[in-house]
Amino acid sequence: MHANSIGRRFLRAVFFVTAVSLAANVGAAPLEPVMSLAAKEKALLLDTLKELVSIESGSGDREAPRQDQ
Amino acid sequence: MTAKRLDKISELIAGRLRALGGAVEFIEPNPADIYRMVDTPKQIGRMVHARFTGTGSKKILLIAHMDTVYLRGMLAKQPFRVDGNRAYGLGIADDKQGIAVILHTLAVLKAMNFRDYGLVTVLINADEEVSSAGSRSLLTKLGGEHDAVFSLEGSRVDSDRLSLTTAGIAAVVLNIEGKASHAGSSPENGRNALYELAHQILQTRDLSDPKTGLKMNWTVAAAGTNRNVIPAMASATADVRVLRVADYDGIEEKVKERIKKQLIPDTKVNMTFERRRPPLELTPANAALAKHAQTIYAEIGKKLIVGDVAEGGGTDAAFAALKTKAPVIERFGLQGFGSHSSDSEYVHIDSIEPRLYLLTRMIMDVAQGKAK
Repeated sequence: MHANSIGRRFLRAVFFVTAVSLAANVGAAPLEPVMSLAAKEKALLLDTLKELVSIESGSGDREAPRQDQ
Repeated sequence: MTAKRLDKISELIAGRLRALGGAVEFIEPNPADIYRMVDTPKQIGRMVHARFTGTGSKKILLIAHMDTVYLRGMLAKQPFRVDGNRAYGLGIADDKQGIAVILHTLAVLKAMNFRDYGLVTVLINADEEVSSAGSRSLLTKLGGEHDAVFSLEGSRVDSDRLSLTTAGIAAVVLNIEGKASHAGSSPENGRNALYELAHQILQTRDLSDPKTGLKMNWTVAAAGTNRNVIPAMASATADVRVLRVADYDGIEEKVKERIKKQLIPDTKVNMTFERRRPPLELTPANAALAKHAQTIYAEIGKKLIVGDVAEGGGTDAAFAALKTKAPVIERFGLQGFGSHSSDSEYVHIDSIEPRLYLLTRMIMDVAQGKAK
């Protein structure tokens, strides 16, 4: 009887410590609608990247050497 | 020519910022403010400046750059492409992703009708890859006028991070003037600029200081015109890295002092010390705000590394931080790889959502006084 009681207390303590530790490591939930809007922008951002990298914008004054020279 | 080519991309960015509701203007670098270095192009591209006015009081500055290191003609062989989780393209990591993240973060804020900030300013410059010769003074001015600065250079594929420090970069340029003479018939009439340069390099080779992180290394040298002529000219450049703005003065003075001792008295030793980029220094303000960023990232179950040791490269965030006590944080961009390479520059597509979430939430929390 006494041994069972100590065992239950021990398990309760382990559960408590684990719960506190998990709570400390996990942040609050993602804020909506920021998360869903960010997800929605993903494909659009890729389209923007395509537009941006399709324009040459080197700030030096030089031209690439031609392969046949 | 360079500035004209940059006009096309600046038009695109300006149009997108206008569509998001920004008051947009082009800013040509003021000739009086240009810090000319040995490799500064004759023409520097204009900047795109946009202001989004809100209903609150906090002012937030977002910076990125539109220029790349790539030469004309390279795009044709390396167009945009997607391969799995990677989006490839010239300048995609450095720093076109930064522009894209800013545009789409503003789109998220607009979709929420979030206007609790006093002002969100966007500055996209066109000369970062040539040490921000024409934009540095405006970056510093704007940095001093805002409550927080977020710089959009990319994070790394192997390390999802923000950076609180970046290295300062300087160059020591030595030009030696000697006297030419025939190396076979009358070498004694010449004054060998190459000998003098070698002497100067050797007597300034030990100025690095591991205690302060200061590094000075000679990296480029040239001399002479012909095998049979005593060289009349010689030049060399040393790369200098500092972690504290104050260390610039010290190293410049030390070099000046050392080069007074010449090997060949009749030669002339000219030294130029180019402050190409200041360091971004760790401050209590940027450390505190980065900690807040970590809690935001944890909201989406991600761990954000905060780097407080400079990794060697320099960025515009340092210009923005030069005259302010407000937090200035670097690497709000996507995770990427291969900056300045010619065939392997890419960003991780799966970093788009986390990074949009992070920057949007940071702007919201700074605007609402929840993050300081």
